[in-house]
This record gives sequence, structure tokens and C-alpha cells, in this order.
Amino acid sequence: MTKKDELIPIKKSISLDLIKDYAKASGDFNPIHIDKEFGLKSQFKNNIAHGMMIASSISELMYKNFGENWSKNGNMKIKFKLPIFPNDEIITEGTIKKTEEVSEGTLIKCNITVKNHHDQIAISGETTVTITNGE
Amino acid sequence: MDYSQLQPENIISENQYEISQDFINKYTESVKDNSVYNNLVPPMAISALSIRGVLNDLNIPGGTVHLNQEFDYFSAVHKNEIINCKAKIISNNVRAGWRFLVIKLETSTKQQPIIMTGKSTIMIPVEDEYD
Repeated sequence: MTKKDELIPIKKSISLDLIKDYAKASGDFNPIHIDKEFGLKSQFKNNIAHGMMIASSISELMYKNFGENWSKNGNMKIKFKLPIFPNDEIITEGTIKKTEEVSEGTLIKCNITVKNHHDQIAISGETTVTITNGE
Repeated sequence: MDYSQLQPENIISENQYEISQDFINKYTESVKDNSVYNNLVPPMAISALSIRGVLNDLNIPGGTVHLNQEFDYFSAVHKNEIINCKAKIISNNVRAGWRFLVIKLETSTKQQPIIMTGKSTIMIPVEDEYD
């Protein structure tokens, strides 16, 4: 794998305040995310970030690397493997595993991971995007 | 909500949202996304709205876990556009004390019949279903 196959990664810190902000923005007020007591009694023994909140970093990664093509024809398939907790640091990384010429342009397939600061994979998956002719 | 009654093809949620600049700002701040989208809506903001309706309309209990997610985007959406979000059941099974719901998401605008589709797999603890 060469460096040119690696997408520019994204790093973030996830705080409980940020999770609460995401709850307000998304309308997902599941107490597992925002209620301290509920989190402590849950199987996770803590609050956890919304999966969709963490997955947004994958879309951000693809948009930053491939621009508006991502909005127009992107695809992602992901599995949530581990929760992200308040105060975790995450890094979202991608590598291009295949490019293919198609009638609309160049189809790019990527492997994607979101890891926590213990280097554990929280989300894994694949994305595809077509760089359309003329862009 | 009696989740056991949900059958494949049942429409479980239909909602309409106008994507305001205020919503986009709140969304991007909450996910710390500093990308320059100009007049476009971040794709995952559309996805978040499409799932909002499902969570609210199904009254999903607190212990629910999001397992898998797929999204396909077919057209960029501009701010102030109105999106229509529809969700229906693909499958509904119980295994080892958890109910596994697979849900199909479809989002459209007045101009575009499909801007996004998705497939969500969630698992609900059966013991919490009637809380």
C-alpha cells in the first residue's frame, strides 16, 4: 500500500457536551447517549456517542477527499463494532482499495475505519464514490 | 409500540423537513465538521434526519443498539430544500432476547424522486419493548 492510496485522516475528541449537542441537532435523545444514570446502568457502564455521530466523520472524510461527488453518488456500508465513550479520541482513516473506469467516470472503492485512542476499531466499512467525467 | 406486529413493507415513518442554515450550523458544530459545503447540505445531516423520524415514530427504547448502516446518495441537496423521509420494515426477527429490525430509508425532494436510500439494522432488548 503506497501513501497515495491513503485518504487524509480526520481526528476528533468526543465530549459529553458534544454528544448532547448532537442529540439536539439530530433529535435522537436516547438516554443511553445523554443521561448519566441511564448510561451507568447500561451494558456499557457509561454514556456512548450516537453511532451516526461517529459515522459522520466517514462522510466528512469522503467529502474532504472527493468533494461534491460524494454528495452526488457516494455509498457507505458500515458496521458499528465498539461504542465511543465521552472523552474518547477518534481517528477516521481510509485507503483506496480499487479504482475502476466506468461509463460515468472513475469509480473509487475505499476501506474505512474509525478507531478510538486505544487503536480499537469502533466502525469498519467500505465506501464508494464515482469521480464523474469533467470534474 | 408492539414491535412484534411490524411486518415487512410496513411504512413506519413519513416525515418532511426543511433544511435550514440554522440546522446545518447546529449539525456541523455537533460533529465538529469544518468542511466547506457552500450551499450544499452535508450528506450525513440528511441521513440523520431520515433516522430521526424512525426513532421518534417507533418510540425506540433506551437500550436499543445500532448495528449496521448503509447509505447511497444520488443527488446533492441544497440548503432550504424540503426533504421527504420515508421508512419501512425490511425484516423483523427475535434472537437471544433481542429484536432485530432492518429498516429501509428513502429520502426525496420535490425535484428528485430519490436523493438517498439507506438500510439500518437495530437491535432492541425485548425486555424493554413495553417500557
